[in-house]
Amino acid sequence: MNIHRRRYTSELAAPLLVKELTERANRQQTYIVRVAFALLFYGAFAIMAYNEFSISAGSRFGAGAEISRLAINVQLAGIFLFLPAMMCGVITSEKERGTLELITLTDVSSRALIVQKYLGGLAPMITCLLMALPINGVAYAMGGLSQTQVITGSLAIVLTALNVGAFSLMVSAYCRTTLGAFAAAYCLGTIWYFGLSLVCGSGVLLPPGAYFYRPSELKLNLASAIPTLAITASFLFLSHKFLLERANAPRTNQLLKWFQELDRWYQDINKQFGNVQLVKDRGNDLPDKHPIRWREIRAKAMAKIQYLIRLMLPVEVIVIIFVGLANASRHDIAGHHLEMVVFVLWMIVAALLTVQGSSLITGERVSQTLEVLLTTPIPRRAIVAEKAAAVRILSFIALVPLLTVALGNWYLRFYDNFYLIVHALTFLVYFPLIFWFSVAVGLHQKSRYKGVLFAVGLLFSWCALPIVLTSAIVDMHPFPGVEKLRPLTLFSPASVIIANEEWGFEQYFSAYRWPAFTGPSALIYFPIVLNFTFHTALAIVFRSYSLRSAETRLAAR
Amino acid sequence: MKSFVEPCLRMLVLVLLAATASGQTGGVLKGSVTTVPPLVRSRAPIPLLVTLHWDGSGFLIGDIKVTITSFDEPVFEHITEGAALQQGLNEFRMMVPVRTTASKVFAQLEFIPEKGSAIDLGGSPLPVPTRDEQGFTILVGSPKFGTGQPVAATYRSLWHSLRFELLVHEDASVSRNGISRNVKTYPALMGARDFPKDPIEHCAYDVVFLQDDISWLDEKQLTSLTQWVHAGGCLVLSNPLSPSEKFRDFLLQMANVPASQLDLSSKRSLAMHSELGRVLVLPQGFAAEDSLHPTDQHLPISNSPALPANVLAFIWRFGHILNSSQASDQLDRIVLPNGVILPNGGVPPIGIIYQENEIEHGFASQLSGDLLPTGVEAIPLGSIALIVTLFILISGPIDYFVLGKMRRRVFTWIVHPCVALAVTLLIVTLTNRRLAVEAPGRKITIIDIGKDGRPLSENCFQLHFAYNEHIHQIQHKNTLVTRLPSGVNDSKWWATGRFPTYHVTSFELAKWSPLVTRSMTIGDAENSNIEVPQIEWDTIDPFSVSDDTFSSHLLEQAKIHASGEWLVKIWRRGKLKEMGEANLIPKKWDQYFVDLESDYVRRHRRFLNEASIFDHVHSPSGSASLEDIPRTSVDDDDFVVVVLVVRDGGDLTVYRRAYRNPSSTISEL
Repeated sequence: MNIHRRRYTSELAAPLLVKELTERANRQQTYIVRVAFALLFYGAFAIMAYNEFSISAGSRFGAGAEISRLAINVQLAGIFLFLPAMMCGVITSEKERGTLELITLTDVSSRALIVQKYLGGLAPMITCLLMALPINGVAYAMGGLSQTQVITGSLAIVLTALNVGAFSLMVSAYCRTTLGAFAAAYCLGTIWYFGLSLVCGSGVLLPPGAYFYRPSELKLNLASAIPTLAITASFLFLSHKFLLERANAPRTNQLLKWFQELDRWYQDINKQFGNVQLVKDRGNDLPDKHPIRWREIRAKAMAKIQYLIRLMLPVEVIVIIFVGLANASRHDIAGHHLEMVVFVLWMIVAALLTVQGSSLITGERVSQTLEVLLTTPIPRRAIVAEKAAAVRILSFIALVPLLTVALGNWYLRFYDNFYLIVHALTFLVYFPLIFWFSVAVGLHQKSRYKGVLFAVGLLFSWCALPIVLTSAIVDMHPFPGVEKLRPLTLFSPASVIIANEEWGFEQYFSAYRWPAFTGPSALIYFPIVLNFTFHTALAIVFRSYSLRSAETRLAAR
Repeated sequence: MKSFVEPCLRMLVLVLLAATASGQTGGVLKGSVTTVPPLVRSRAPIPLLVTLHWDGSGFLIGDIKVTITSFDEPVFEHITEGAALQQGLNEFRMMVPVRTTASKVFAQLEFIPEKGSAIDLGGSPLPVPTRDEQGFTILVGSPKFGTGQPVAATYRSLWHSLRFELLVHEDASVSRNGISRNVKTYPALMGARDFPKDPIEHCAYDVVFLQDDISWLDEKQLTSLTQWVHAGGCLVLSNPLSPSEKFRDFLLQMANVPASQLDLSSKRSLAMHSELGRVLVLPQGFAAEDSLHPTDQHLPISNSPALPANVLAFIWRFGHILNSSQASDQLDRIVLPNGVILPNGGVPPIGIIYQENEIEHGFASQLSGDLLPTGVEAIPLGSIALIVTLFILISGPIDYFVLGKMRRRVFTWIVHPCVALAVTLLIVTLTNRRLAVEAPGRKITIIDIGKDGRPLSENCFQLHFAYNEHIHQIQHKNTLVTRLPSGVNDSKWWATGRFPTYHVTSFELAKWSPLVTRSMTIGDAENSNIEVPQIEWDTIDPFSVSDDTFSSHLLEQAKIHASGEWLVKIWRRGKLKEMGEANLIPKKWDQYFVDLESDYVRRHRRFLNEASIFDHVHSPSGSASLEDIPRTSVDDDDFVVVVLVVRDGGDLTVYRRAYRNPSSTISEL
């Protein structure tokens, strides 16, 4: 009886949650993040709503609805983008540190553990959302928004945060490592929240569905909260289940297993059709040279050429269908779709290269094989170089669908060779740049999860910030001649890709009246030369830095 | 006596019909809805033809209901009450209000019999131009259409010579076999029975083309046609070999010139200016059969009788011709052999994607600010910025240091949400207090005046401002109504009733969200209820009186008829003069009015050479694009526009009279 009472009291006291909240409250970082988020959010909001602010107060009336929609979209995007990353390590980090067993030995029940971890993990996101709450008041003051819409908007955000948080916690409870949980949270999250929503109709699974459908109907929004809360509760229930069942799950390379399964399936099919083997598996042949490279190719799923080819095949088929459809219709919309395919492919390839590059060394660290590698007579520089060489296969494979789309677009653009050359240059320059940049970032991180997170975050910021900030400033037109700042967007690797697909290159230096920029060739070629020279130089710098610092960083603890 | 007899007769007819209907036997009812021309005019009301085929005996009495949807949202619901369908084919013509952005329009037809449930007669998509297309329509009128009499191929095919596409030459990527994919002109063939009897009904068409003498039109049809032309419409007439007196009188009345100035024996086309509109008389023999290929209306362009480019430019109100180097970037593929033509006096939407946002958004946004109800004022942005800054400071450094001093930092998890909630409620409360004024929105009415002080058309821009979310309804008679897109208000609107005779337009208004509507009426006071002051406009005709007399008469008239604040402006020979220093309307309105007049021109100055008032007039359409509102130019010597602006409370009324140099009224092209 006493034991039960003590456990009940302990659960009410929520020691883990209190500890988490107290620690966070005492950290200066919590307040800095709050202020930084508020400055970023309100700053970005001011830039985005600049047009509404710049017009007279009278004309501004009615803009509140649009501003509220914008603010809610930003907050929802923030939840979907950052909350999984913030919460996927809540339980896996305990597993990785080996402290989960210790917690289970205390009075805290597994149910209470889940709830407390859930609330503790949500706290930073809730803080940020609270910082953004007054934006609803600002939008309301600008007209076009009813009090009901303010309430339903806030409700949609809170429900989404609760739902996505519970989903991420469930993934964290299931996975063994934080990196695995990170990847699973985003992949499964995309399928669950966006893929299934498309199938079932938006609003069924996505909490803000009712808000976007009828923002001014409170009853409908409250009613739609019931299934969302039920799904959230289910996620928490599953989290509890997985916590108990998978607390000591053994380490398995699930991806490699899937590929092996897939390989067997492909081979069975191949036997039916002549059994021609383009790439033969060498089995366990030991290498004469480059042992690290040999090990990488054998051990990793994403380095084996036959696996990669088979992975690439369905992607290539989809791409060929897209290109074929676009060519058949020969219409602007089809061309636009092909451009979207280029962007999506680039995002996938960049993500793959970033993950591979940043976990090049951290992967060895986490699996505690780095020390063994360092005991071999192979120079540290060579270890990095050979591991990097194994990833090169991935680059070559990734080239195929990108080239297919490029050729399709080249044909649609009436054999535009200039487009094709620029496209080819992007592969040559950006592939090594992204990879070596990620390697350099990864060398400074202890855990694979942090390495990937940092590399992806930095690369995303690097690509987006020059374009977003420069475009925002130029669009605001705060002073005459602001258009001359346009070339700053060229500091983003994404700028040339987007310009080649959509914008064109004339805009960058058109504001300059220098004699050198009067001709069309100077206007078109100069931005390309500038961008590629800059990024090639950076790729060389990152490569030499990574190889040079391998001597010191590999031994660092 | 008459007022008593007429309803009695109607009642008798209805009773007879009902009696006949009661004896009807069962039959099958089939129906369809189509647009009158195969593709309708861009940004203009849509003329519809409802066809019902009843194969039962006797009459079938009930209501015809046509529901128009756009992207699954209801746009318009037309109900013809008490329609009596006779055995066989029954046709009904109706109009649907203009939708500027809708490209997917669907019509659903229902018949609701007096007894029994509604009969769903199915639906069909309506061929409305997409955003990439520019649809033009020519109303082709002939006494033989619709009569069942054989119609010569020439009658059907003459309209080909007037097509807009003949003015442009597009490159291969936007045309197929020489036929444009972006610019499409279609005819609406009408006989005497279907020819519009109300000037508003003409607004569905760009040009009216009458192929024979006008004697086949009745008085009401001629009056409505005249009113429409005076309000900015374009009429093309083929000059008969032996024109009747009625024909000649009609032209003289249109041009308002002495008979000596009208020479119908000319071998060239006659271009006549008629108030805000224009009339083109094709030369005699133009329609001679030997010049035509005897095929139907799908005649190849090359076989149509040719019209010179300047005649076509007059019909379609082309501003001027630029050389290709001047405008190659802007024009995107519309090229003439001798240069580049910009339609609409310089605005380059035709044939390309229609850029609706540029002009009307700016205009609507400006109106939204200027016509707000008195006393409505937003919280200054500075105050909001201050509150938000304080909130950030409290949530960040103040929270950290104060709670740290109290050694209760964990309370931040209570303090922070409370502060966020309090700040939000503070802004909401402040807003509620500040905007707790309930006054109606204001309006600006532009009335164009013609000869003898008759109103030609009235355009009213009214702001609607809601203090609570609700559906706002406005009743209209003989009026085209549309909503101006303002960028901040994307609310839904729809109409019900018999358009445009009598209809109710409903707008979904959000809280504190302004919405500007445009309503347009054409015609004189008897038809449209436009009220105009009895200003003696003839005494201030600058082409018939001296400058001094003109000035003194003008001031005198202004003081008599504008008891409150007023403003007079004159556009003449490139100079903008102001008269009447006393009681001048505040500078803000002054500037606003200048913008209203010249914004259209100023925004596209790079395209303009010799803009004049007529260069900027489309045929009336009542659409949100404002292309059909006459705008003045400062560069035309043949025009003087006198404008009297009167302020009544918060509302403005603008009376405008465009005087033309009589010597330039008729010209040969």
